[in-house]
Amino acid sequence: MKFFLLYVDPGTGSFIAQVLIAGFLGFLFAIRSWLYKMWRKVRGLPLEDDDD
Amino acid sequence: MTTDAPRHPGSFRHPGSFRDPAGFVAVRDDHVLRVVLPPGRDDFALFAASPLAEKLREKQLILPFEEIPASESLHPDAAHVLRSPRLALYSFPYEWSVSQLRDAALLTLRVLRLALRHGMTLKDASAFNVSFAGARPVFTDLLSFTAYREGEPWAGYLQFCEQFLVPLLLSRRAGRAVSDLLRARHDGISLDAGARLLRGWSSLRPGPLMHVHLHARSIRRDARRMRREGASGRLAAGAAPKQSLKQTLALVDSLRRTVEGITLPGGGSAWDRYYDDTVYSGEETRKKEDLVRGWIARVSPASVWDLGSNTGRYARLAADAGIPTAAFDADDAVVDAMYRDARERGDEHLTPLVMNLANPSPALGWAHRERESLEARAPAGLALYLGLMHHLRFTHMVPLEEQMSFLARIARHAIVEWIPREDVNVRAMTEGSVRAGFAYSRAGFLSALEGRFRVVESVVLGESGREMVLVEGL
Repeated sequence: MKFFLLYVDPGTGSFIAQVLIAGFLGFLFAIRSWLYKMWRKVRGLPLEDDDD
Repeated sequence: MTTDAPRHPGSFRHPGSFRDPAGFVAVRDDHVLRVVLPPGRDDFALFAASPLAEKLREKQLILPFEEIPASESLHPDAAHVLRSPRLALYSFPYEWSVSQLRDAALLTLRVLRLALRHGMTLKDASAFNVSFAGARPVFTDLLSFTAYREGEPWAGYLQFCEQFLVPLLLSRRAGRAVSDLLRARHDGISLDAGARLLRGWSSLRPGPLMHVHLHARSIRRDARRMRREGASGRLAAGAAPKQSLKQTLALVDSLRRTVEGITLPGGGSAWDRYYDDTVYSGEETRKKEDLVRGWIARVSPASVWDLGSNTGRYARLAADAGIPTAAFDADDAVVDAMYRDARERGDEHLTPLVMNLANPSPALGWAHRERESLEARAPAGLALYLGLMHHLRFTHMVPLEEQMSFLARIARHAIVEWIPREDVNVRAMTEGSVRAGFAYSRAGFLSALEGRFRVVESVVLGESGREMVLVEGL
């Protein structure tokens, strides 16, 4: 990671918290999307992708 | 707007624009320039070439911009120069109602999410990166976009929590006092203070629990570790924690849900108790509206500031004429209601703002010049000064001379309403009070105009004796 580009320096404590929280949320999200995909697959619906 | 003493011939770097090595902002009469310097060249090139810029423009999430030839007169190393139109008034977070702060937070997250989907990210989350074009929040800091590098956490996370999330969570308890807090702590309310103030109910909800309480705890723990270990306790660049794009997107979505889940203080009732005008005849009110509409068309100003707008009835006349208009009121609840109404109507020109004219926004930040005072952002082409003079005279004890002196400093033209002492609203403020003895007369008002304004036209509205006066600055 190139810290020199970050002109706001949140510090290590904030980064550690973020990585842990994002890891946890990412895990929940992965489970949810897997369940969602399964549900659509079972129903025979196409998968959507929305970038906004 | 004030400008810095030129470092280079012809340069006019905005005095508040010094933090970002990627470039700076310069302000001219009718537009704003963003000058990209060599450290920001690659990021800007990536941004401009990616579909992201077009998408953000299309969705009206950013300030429109066009690239103009880089001129050495701006900066000898200028790599790109971007020109955007100037807003009626570049407003600051402590001038927003809570709904405006929430919408600015959601805009920041939406822009970040789109950037992440296009291989970019935001390098900060300053609330000052957002302002309002009409009733629509716009992301203004085009230099905030930077290339996303796989594995990096979001650099703006703490700043987002301190400048948006904590103030919004506090608004549930503190209501309008949040804008006062943000004025005092213009770089945000520290997470530590936020976590202490929000102790209790909020720590039981998943969003505040993670983003405020656990986040603050991690920072406190790390600070203790740093005190123990000194500089050697800093993480080496290689050992920095990694976070995947999907995880970052999940974080952004969680922040969005948290912000959307905050119940903001209500303000609907404020509409009912307003309108001094209701005591006057419908005919007088119509005449007043016609006069204001006609005079706005006659002056045809580039911007209008309604200095005491109440619900924005007269400010809307200017906005409806397509003029960028800022409507000030001291009451957060009234401004919030006005904003929500303007937002629903998709008003492109009306920006409601929280501003107490008896204590307008001061200059803040580094060297008193980073965040400009209201006066430093003047002049407005036309100011509406309606039903205001007696409030400032009798509630805040501001003499008429002082009032007209300030008005002359912030507006080129003004529509001033003179309300005589015998008026029912003035009597309600003064009768049986020491205020009855305050100097307040039409002669005193006209004498306060002398040397500052020329009276262009004046019209008595009717039996109430109220008088509308169009004045032009000398």
